[in-house]
Amino acid sequence: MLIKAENLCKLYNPHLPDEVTALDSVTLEIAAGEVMALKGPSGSGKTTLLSLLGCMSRPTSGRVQFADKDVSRLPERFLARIRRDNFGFVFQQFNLIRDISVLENVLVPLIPSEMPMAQMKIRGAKVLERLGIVSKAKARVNQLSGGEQQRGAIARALIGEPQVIIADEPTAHLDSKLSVELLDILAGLNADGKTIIIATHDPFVYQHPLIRRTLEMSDGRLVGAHSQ
Amino acid sequence: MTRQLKLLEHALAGLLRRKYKNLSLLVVYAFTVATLGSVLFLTHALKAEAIGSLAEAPDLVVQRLVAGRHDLIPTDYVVSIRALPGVKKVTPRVWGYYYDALLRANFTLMGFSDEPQDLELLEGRLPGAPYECAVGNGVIEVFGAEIGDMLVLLDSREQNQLYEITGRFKAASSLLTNDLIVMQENTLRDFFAMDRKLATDIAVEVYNPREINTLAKKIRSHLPGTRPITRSEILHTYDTIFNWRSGMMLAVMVAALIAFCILAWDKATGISADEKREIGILKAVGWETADVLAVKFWEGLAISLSAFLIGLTAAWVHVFTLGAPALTPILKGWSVLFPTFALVPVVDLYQLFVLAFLTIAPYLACTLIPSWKAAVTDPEQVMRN
Amino acid sequence: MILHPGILALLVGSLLTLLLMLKACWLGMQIVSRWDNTSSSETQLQLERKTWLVSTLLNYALGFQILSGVLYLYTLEDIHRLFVGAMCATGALNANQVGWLVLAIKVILFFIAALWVALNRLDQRTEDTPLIRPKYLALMLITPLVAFDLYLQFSYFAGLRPEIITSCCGSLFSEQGASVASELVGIPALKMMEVFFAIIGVFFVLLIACYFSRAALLRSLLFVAALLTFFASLGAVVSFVSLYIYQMPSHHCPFDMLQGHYNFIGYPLYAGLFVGTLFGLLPGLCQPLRRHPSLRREIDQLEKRWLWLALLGMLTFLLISAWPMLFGSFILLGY
Repeated sequence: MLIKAENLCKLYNPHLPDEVTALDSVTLEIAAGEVMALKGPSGSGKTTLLSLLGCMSRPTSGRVQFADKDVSRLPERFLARIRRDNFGFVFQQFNLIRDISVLENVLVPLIPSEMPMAQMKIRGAKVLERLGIVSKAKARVNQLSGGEQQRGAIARALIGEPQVIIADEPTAHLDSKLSVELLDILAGLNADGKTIIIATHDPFVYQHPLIRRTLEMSDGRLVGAHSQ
Repeated sequence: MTRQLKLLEHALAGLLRRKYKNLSLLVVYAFTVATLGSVLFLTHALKAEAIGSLAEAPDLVVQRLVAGRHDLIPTDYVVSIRALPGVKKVTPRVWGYYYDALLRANFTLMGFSDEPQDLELLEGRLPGAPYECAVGNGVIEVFGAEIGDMLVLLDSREQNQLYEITGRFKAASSLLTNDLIVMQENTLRDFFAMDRKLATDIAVEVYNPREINTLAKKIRSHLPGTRPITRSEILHTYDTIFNWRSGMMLAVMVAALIAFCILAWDKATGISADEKREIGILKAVGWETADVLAVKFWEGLAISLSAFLIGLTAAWVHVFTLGAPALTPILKGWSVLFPTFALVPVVDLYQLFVLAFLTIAPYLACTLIPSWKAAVTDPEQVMRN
Repeated sequence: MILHPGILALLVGSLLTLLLMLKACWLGMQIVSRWDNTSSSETQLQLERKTWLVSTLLNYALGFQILSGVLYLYTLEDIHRLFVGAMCATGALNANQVGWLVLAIKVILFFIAALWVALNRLDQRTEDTPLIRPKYLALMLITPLVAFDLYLQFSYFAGLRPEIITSCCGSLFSEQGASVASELVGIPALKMMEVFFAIIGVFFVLLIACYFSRAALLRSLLFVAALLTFFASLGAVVSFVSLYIYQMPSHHCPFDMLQGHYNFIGYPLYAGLFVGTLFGLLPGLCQPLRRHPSLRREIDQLEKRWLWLALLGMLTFLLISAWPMLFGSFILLGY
């Protein structure tokens, strides 16, 4: 198994009056090369679960294993390294840095690595080419359409050649035509062997044939699982 | 190494993107550097000037003290001093200060005997006859006189005396010659009503500089009531005075430095929502806290160095091109008469080092905690709206 | 006396360092008292983030310390003119009793702070950070030292009396005096050269031995050798290296070589010595830390680099000091 989660709990503001249980004993396993969707209404804990699986935060209790390594107690600096080397994130609002070019955005994750700039640029151009926006490499982010921004965000997620792509509501800001394109891109990535985890409440996504397993969440718990 | 260079590049690009936000900080920072720099440059230049002019001063000056008060020295002493072994040359000197009540200015009147002196003249000639004089630039300016004009001075018998200006001293040796009026020794004696057997002090030149102190001791024991002053003693008095003055000014300026630090702190704390979002993104895509801290350090250093260079240039122009109009009244204030004179640019590495230490270290220390606060932004926050 | 610009800068710098250290100390106490490696709680996360602040504070404090050491010598050089009889920095140091003490404290502080930063880096490479407690407890020892440094500097500069006639390097580093320095100078140069080259030779041999062997004893010996080399080198600088650099048979001042007049040759010379000593101390210092499995891995990885740096530093020092002896026109032996 690539990712294993056991009894994950996440509390925000523990022992305070405004304590929130965002996640309540979630257990799941994800195999390498799998495409999985998390569905559920907003506030059901999808994003929290994604951030735990993607080594972005640590659980209050329970365990997360990535490639057989327990990462749930790791210091932040090690989590960051694991994120950089193994995960690509596609966020709901694209989260590109506004007034720099698309290529610069794509290269951002590699800046703190020892890879020389020239090599980074070659890699960046390749990724952009694959996503069909190489012509926009020098354009500023605010000159791009929504679809192009989404592709830029995916290109940034791919630059570190990650094993796992994590996408949080990737179609939230896209029309149906762009949503189709996005899932095509994801299907292509999966064909290359990337593991994909998507959180969504868009039926178009979780009913798509690419998604072989859907987990349903409600109030921080897993309440159902479907496989296709 | 590659990593640090790339982080540096990222930091510089980030600064350029936010140039307007950083501009006001840069201006105030550069202004602080310029103020402190001006004080240091000016005092250092004055000190260098004073020390430079002292280089031509006699090794030893012998004064006479009567009951602790400076008094005229008998010219007979010249003979006894000349008899001491190791003495090269002994000259009695006649000079004194003169306060002009009308112009409210102080001048130094100096007598000049027959021997040629190496005071450099800008134009004209040294006085060759009684009732002639050569003067410094400051005197020319204050009197508004030219060469060939007559200088009117009130002598010790309250009589107006007229002296023709025959020469003007060169500006390069300005501090010393600025307020100087030189005339023939006997003319000056008459002016001060000074006995021929007396002089203001006696200048002594010595063959071997290592024997100056020994000779000073000997003169004291041979001629009770005299006070020999060595050149190094004058030098270190000058040093003390200039250091004290610039230090005093700097201490006042530290208030400005503190004000600047508060601004820096405030600027660094008031990190914009945009920047905070950006750091969140960086953290989310795999940057470590240490990477963000490194970027912040490079940013701080880049701002500091540019402000330092701008401030330094401004200070240079202020002091050496404009003649430090903002500072001279405070710093040179021991003499009433100090018209503008061009300072010779003297800056050494030590001045720059001190200035850098005084301005850059506080800035970096001030921005340290705010940088850290920005750097530990939770990566998870970018996942939430 | 205190109002000299350089002195003002020094005091401001030391005060800043002290403030940074106090903040670090305060954070250190919080971290030590509540640190729990096994917890993934919010508190632990906050503490973890605070360790970054402490590291950064210490990095800056070390930087300030190095610069203020240089500034201190530079200032002494500048103020020596105020003292009758003083002809260089040494004369200013002799102006009252604490001058040399301040210098010694600064050197000690440099080594302690640099070792702290090095060990902290080592520790942060591991997942379980076994040194967290010793590290932050050490802060409570370093901070008083920084305060002491500030106090001594203040009393040194406040106590300077320009009227006092001081002795200069000429008399301090002359053969007639009774101080350690004059005794150093009193040792015949040839003897001192033999001792110095023997010690530094042993140091190099041990460095190479450590590079190829993992024996613990070698590292302890290297630690001792690094310390001995440091003092022997300082002695050598006063005794004969300075003579070759200045090309004068009786000028023993260890500070003049920092001046532009001698092409600032003192900076690479002393930088080499300090770097060489620092990295020569590290392997021995880390030897007991190998009982933590996580640290052992990192030490094994880094040690070769330390040994290289130690070699490089000491070689720089040796080359610069030996260069004028071998190729200069000045002949001391047989003089």
